[in-house]
Amino acid sequence: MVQQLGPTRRATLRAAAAAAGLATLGTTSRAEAEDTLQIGCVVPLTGPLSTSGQQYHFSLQMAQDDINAKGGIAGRKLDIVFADTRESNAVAVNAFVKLNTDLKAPFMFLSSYTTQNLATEPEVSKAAIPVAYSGGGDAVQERKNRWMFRIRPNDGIQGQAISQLLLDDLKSKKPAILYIQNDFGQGVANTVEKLCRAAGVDPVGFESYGLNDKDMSAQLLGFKSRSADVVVTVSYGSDGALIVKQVKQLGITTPLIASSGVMVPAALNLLSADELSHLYGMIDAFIDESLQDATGDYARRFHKRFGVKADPYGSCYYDAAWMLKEGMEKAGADPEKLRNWFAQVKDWKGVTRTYTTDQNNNMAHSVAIVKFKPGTTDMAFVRTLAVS
Amino acid sequence: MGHVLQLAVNGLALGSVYGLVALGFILVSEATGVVNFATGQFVMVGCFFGVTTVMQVGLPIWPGYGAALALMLAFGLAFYALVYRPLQDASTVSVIIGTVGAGIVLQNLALLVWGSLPLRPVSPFGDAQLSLGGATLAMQSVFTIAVTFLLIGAVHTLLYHAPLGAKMRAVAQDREAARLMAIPVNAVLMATWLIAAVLTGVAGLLLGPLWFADVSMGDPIALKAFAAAIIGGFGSVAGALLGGVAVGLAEIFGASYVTSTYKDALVFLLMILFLLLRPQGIFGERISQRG
Repeated sequence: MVQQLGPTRRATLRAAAAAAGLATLGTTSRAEAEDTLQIGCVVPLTGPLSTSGQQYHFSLQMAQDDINAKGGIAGRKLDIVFADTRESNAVAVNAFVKLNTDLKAPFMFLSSYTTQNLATEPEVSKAAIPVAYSGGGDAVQERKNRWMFRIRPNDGIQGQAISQLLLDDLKSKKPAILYIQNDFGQGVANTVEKLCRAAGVDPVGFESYGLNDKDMSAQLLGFKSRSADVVVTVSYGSDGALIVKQVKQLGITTPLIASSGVMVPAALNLLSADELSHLYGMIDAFIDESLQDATGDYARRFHKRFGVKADPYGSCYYDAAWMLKEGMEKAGADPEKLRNWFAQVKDWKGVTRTYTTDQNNNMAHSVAIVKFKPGTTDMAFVRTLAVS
Repeated sequence: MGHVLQLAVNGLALGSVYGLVALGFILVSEATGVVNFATGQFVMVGCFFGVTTVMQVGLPIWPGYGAALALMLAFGLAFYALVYRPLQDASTVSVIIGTVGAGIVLQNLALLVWGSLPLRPVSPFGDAQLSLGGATLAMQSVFTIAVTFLLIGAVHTLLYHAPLGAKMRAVAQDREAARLMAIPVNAVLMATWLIAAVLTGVAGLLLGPLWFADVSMGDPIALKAFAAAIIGGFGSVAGALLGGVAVGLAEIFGASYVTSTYKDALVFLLMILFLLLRPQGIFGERISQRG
């Protein structure tokens, strides 16, 4: 499997350059204040979480250029300034504080990692500016921070959708659940288990693994010995891909349902058509280059420009940037007014989905189910599951 | 029974991986008296050299592996010259900290060179599997077990039955005395780093097709391998294998019969028990017994 490494390397160098450029902000931001609008973005650009962070970085770069090609925001050129959170909560908080102090921007983009966003949440309150974040963990919304708007489906929605697929579509009587041992994995797995039991179906397996684990055969063999009829894996990218590979190696031929973290190009590129043959995937939205609409156009341009396929984790940041443009042009740069604009968003159509803000500031309320065309690694759309 | 056999086979395969990486720890420790905390990054670099030679340059797999190991020799030489040599007369703690720092630098350099996305190196055996009395195992895992046993034997022979091995152990025990005995200390130390680089490079090449190539892959593997080296005995080559298998079996059976959530805790509990009750490990000798 030959893969081009160039774009990744360039991306990393760009990230390094962005980080280096940050050092000069104090002198440049004021000078450019009249005709340039600087907006901060704190996402993981290096380290183990950068696989997803790269998508946010790319999609926001694309949004910046597309918005500027359409006249910028209220006549000002948009300049998105990136700061690296790495895999550290402390670094994420410091990056947010520094960008907020340096830029004094009316809006910021935050990470997709719940623990980083939880750590940053008190600083968002102090800054009193609206932010868009994409972590799925319920813990953030439980803080009821009026400034934080979630642009991805929360983990509870994903758990409900997996349960619907498991019980309604696949008619499972003996499901088994494997999940990554953290707030995301446990949250989704608990939801699935609870909904299964409520429907009178007792899972025959409920096992976890650590982020750095490389061999999940003990858990999978346990499922096999208990005759599980569907295996659910709640995972991230490469760990999820490893599980899909090991399921095949262990001769488990029952359907496998994977959470959205596994359904990103970076993970799917690691798998063969044979390994994907029994896989159903939850995905935030179906972003495919074959689509003949704004979504397909975004996906094709993204792939051409960055050399990697677009995914819905990144595309929701693209949408949020366009929402910001509309919000600032309608409500102005006052943070309170901008926040109120985001709070009343209804049926706003982006390339990823249609967004409506609910009482918990969640803006995304559906996920898509996909599987793979036989003998290929091409994704096929099954249906959208809207969850209230 | 078939289930237990499958678990045992998987534990053996996993343990042999840890044992192979533990060998890298033990070889350096035996010759230099320090623990190389960049061992995990050595494994990662070996894996990515294979990615470069086979996947990017497009060499056939076996010549590609050969080229990757040649690159590991150059890497070992560079590590010796740039990291170990400047620190070799400093205190043990300084050298250890030097290896920790070098490991961090290596990981960041790898990120720049190969990027953050994981890759799937090809296996010489494709998806082939071996059936063994109701248990199945990927041929890549079988190959890894076989290579581990082979290398354990080779390193044992080198250290305990070859002149170079005797010199390496002499240098580790008392560098000044070795020098007075006309042992070319610097050459022996350099040879140690070259061999360690090749050994860990082999581990990286074997691991890539099993667990994917990822610039962050080194530390988690090295941590378990370190536990394996402590359990087996830091001064023992055979102990690396036994310790590795003990860790692999504890992990697999622990996850299956005790708890999958805390299986790593079981492994490190085992390591702590050894540190408390038998600090020399299963096969290791007390420092006071050396010489």
